[in-house]
Amino acid sequence: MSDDFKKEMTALIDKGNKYVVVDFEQVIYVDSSFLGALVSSLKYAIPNQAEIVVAGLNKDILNLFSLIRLDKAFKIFATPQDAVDNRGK
Amino acid sequence: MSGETSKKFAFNNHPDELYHLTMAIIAYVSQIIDVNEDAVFKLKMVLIELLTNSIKHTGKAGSDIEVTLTGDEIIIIKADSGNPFEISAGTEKIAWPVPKEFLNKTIDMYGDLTGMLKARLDDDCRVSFFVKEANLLDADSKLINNLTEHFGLLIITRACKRFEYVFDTEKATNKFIATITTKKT
Repeated sequence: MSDDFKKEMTALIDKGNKYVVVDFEQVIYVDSSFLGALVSSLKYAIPNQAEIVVAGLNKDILNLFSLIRLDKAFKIFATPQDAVDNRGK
Repeated sequence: MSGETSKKFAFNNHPDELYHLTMAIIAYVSQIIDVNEDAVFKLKMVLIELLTNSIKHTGKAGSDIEVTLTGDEIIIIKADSGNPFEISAGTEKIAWPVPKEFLNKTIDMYGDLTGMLKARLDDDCRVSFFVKEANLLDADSKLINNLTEHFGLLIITRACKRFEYVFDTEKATNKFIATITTKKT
């Protein structure tokens, strides 16, 4: 599943998308494999002048981002709409 | 709660069972002791990662999860008969039991600008993990390019008061032992 996510993110960036919002609103939990794929995607985005942001994290996932310092690497928004509204800010 | 109580749970390595078992164990703990929100969060993260580790590394055999409640600690032991935990010093893979020259040595496992996961070889069959944290200010491209993509052991170590691996050479079994405090941190 993590590999599929990574492939999908790579494809989105290769198509020229410069702002990708990962919507967590329907996500109950994530594991380390997914987080590795998310970070890998972010590293791929940077040299392609693209940005990956995350939105709609539940409390556990938000705390997990903080625990492993991913809150320092990703912009985090309350909702996907907030992410869209605040693009470039 | 006075004294000590424990219970074993079996995990069949089926991904669909991972979250269900995690919540069943949390329900068991919550029935016996008062656990604050922070401890529940840490318990959940530790269980998810230990069970994910089981799926990745133990094959069809699955694993046993033993939960012990004692004093202000929750001790989670994941036991399995999969391949032993791999640890290396530089390019040299360290065998079990650990040769004398490596005893009491500390090995860098993986890390990034946010911190380094380290493993201390406490004795010939026991490793304890800890994180040397870094002072991190703000994200920049240097931080992002340096970020580790390995989080499993890092999550457990940061969530735990103690986190150890023990290899039983006679039975050829592995135990990951995660101790979570129920005290507010």
